[in-house]
Order: sequence, then structure tokens, then C-alpha cells
Amino acid sequence: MKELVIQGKAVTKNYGSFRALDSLDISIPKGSIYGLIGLNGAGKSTLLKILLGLIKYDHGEIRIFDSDKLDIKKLNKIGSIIEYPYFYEHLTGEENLCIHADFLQFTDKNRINEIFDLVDLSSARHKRVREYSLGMRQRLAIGRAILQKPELLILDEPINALDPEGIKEMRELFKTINREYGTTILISSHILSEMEMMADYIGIISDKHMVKEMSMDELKEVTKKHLRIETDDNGKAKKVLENSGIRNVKIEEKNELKVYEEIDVTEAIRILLDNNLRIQEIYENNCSLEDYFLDTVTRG
Amino acid sequence: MSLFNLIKIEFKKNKAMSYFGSYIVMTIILVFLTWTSIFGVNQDHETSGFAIIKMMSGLIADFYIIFSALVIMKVLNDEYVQRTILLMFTYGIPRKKIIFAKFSLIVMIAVVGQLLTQICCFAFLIGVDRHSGLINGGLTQENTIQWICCVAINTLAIIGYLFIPVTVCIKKKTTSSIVVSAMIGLLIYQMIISQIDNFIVMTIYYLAFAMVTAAFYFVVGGRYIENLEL
Repeated sequence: MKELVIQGKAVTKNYGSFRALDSLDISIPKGSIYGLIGLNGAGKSTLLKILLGLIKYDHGEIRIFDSDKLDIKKLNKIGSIIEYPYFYEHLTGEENLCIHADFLQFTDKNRINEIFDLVDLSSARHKRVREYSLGMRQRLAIGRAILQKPELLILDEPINALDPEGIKEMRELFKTINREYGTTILISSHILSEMEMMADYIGIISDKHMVKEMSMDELKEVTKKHLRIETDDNGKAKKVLENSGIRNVKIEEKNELKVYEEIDVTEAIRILLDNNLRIQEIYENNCSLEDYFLDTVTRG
Repeated sequence: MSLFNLIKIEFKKNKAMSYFGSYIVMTIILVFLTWTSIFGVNQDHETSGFAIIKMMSGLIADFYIIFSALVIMKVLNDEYVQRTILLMFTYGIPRKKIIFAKFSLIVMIAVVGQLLTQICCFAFLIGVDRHSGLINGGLTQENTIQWICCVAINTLAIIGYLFIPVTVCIKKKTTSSIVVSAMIGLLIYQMIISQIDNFIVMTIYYLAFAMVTAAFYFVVGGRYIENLEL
């Protein structure tokens, strides 16, 4: 059983009569990169704010760093970007980071130089943040979040405004931080292709609750190209196909029969019909995370 | 982290040294107004030292009450408006301590400015009295003690007053609410200072005022500091 940095059970949050989170469960293994995906209004930002102690939840339980109370001192072990990269506009990028370091009682000034190099903002460090583009703000926000090499990073859509090169650089940076410092990263994003390339685990939020949590290996299994066959007796159909030399045949959840190897569809139909099986449906699946996500949120 | 260190960080973040420029401008204006008030007070008083000092120190307090509302907008309200308060509350520092550090900085800026201007204006009065003898009855040693008492009471009044707009800012997070609460605080201050000449009675009134406003801050403000959603 993997050690969990964050564990939430039946977390519920209401704003008056409006339910923002509905019995949400979440488990984030230590040292992993966890991608949180969901449509707009699904509850991602609300969940992240609750994890940071910015707002209180109404029911359920949350454990962070193996404690059900987010001790105020533990906040210094967490780096974050919430909602939007907010800064003190009248200060320069460097001044913003220095103030942040002061609040954290973090005294290594060389680290600030290192951060500007890491996020590729060295040429803009002495410019006021009000002159920064959104992409520059996001880079600076990422830099600020990782300044003190936190144990946990909570990032709310940190790469949305970056260009493709910037996205690739940040992806590599997150992977490096995760690998070298062992930092657990919880990242919410709409860029599903990036989640596929970066995350070890994903959690899909739909309609205020977690509909699916799985490792990336499990996701790859599910989204692997396969043939889904629906017959009147899937158990018999599996045996018949295996006997005819097709090896990679599985019966998965909801009694679905799936074939994970390249086969001649016509031949498969012939084999099943010869064995008196009635075929109700044959469907070739070739789905990406995006397809899986949309299918999952639609089915709920 | 100690409150002192928090105040230091807030001082640096808000570039509080730049307020000295405002002090200079306000002092120049208030020296001029002090000069003008000498003639008005002289018309009604045979011995006008205390009346001029009371008017001068009251006017200075009025200016700094309004000025401190602007400081509250910059130091506190902007954190809510620019949403940097979300960042502040993710630090491992109790929220009430963070906000109290801001309040302390605001008090410091208002009180230091007020004191500097009071000293400059009183020095100006002494200069005027020595060189032109404009003040009816001249300035006496007793007037100096009266001036010290006025400054002390005005400082107490400003600190007491500041709890109101700061609490309103924490609750409402709007510029207009800060302005309105500042005006209400100013009216209360003016009511007391204009009707009472006895320093002991004034002190009691302003002390009671400060206790009530401090309770308002700790009870109401405290609730809104801990709950961002309200």
C-alpha cells in the first residue's frame, strides 16, 4: 500500500444551497505526479483551495501529511498556484520572490538566481510584474511555488498561457523536481495531452465528485487499442476466441469482452457465429485520454 | 515569525519610506493652514495660544485620519482586490497575525506622520510668535504642555479610529466602504474634540472609544479574517 500524502474521504462543500463538492474521495501517493482533470465548474479549484486551508469543507475527512489537521507550520512545506498567478504588481519579479522568501523565512538568496534561470526569466527579473505577460506571470508563479523545494506542490492550471516550448520546459521541470526532490505534485489542467505525458496518476472530477482515479499504467491499459465485443455469453465467447489462437482476450468491468491484439474482425465474427453465439455489438476502440475523459464525464 | 519581523516585511513590501513624500506635502499645507488660523482665532480670543494649538493639532489629526484611509486602501484593501491575500494565507503564519502586522504598519505610518507634522507646525508657531508676536498673549510654557497633551490625545484618537476602517475593509473589501467609515470616524473624532476642552475628560472619551473600536476589530474583524468566504 503506497504512502499517501493527501487522502480525502467524502469531502463535501456547500455554498448555501449550491453544492460545490459532493462526497469527493481523493488519494494522492507520496512522490507522484497526480493530474486532476475535469470540466469547468467541476470542483477542481474548490478542492485545491480546501487542501490549502483557504476555505473550509463541510463534511468528510481530509488527511495531509498523515494528519487530519492542516497544521499552519505544514503550509511552508507546500508550494502552490491557486486560481491565477497573483503578484504585487508594483514590485519587480525579483522583489516578489524576495518578499515570498522573507515570509517563508527562507534565506538562500542564491536559490532566487537559480529560480530565474530555471523558469527562463533572468532578463525580466528587474521588470515590474505589471509589465509581465500572462506567460511570464505563470513562469514566475511556478518559480515562486518551487522556491523552497516544497514536499508538496499544488498547481491550479499552471501552464495554460504558455507557448508549446514553454509547456515542454515546464513539463521537464516538474518531472525533474519530482524525480530529484521527491516532491509530490498535484496539478490540475485542461491540457490532457500534457497530463498523459507527465502524470503518474489521474483523477477525473465530474459533477462535483471524483468519478475515476487510476494510475497512468491502468489508463494506458484501458485506452489501448482493442476490440469490444458484446455477445449473449461473453464467458463462452472468450474461451472460443482463446481456443482459436487469440491470446489477449479479457473480460473487464461491466462484463465487457475485449480483445487487445490485432485480429481480422471478419474472422472473429465467423468464429463466434460458428459456435452459436449471438453477436450484439462489435466496436473498435482507439481512444486517447481525451476520449476516455469525455466518455467518463458523460457517463458520470 | 515575530510580529516585528512581519511588520518589517510589510514595510518593505509596501515601500513605506515613500510616504515621507506625503508627509512633506501635508506638513507644508498644514503649516500654511496654521498660519491662516492664527488670524481667525485672534479675532475671537484675547489670549489665543491654547485655541490655536487645539485648532492646529485637531486639523493635523483630521488630515491624517483621511490620509490613513488611503494607506488602508494600499496596504490592506489591495491585498483583497488583487487577490494576493490568497497567497498570504498559504504561508505558515496565523492569519490574524498577518493582518495585525498590516494594521500595525498602518498605525505607524499615520502616527509617525502625525507626530512629525505636529512638531513642524508647533515649531512654526514658536517661530511666528518670537519673530512677529502675532499670537495674542504669546505662547507660554503652559501652552507647550497643552500642545503635548493635544498630541498625545490625538495619537490615541487616531489609533482608536483606525480600528473602524480596518475592520470595515476586512469585512467589505471595497474602497467606498473604507471612505465612508473614515468619514464616520472623523465625525466622531470632531464631535469629541470640538465640544470638550478638559484633557482628562477628552482622554477618557478617546480611551473608551479606542476600547470599543478595538473590540469591534477583534470580534468582527477576527471572524472575517478566519473565513475568507464571508
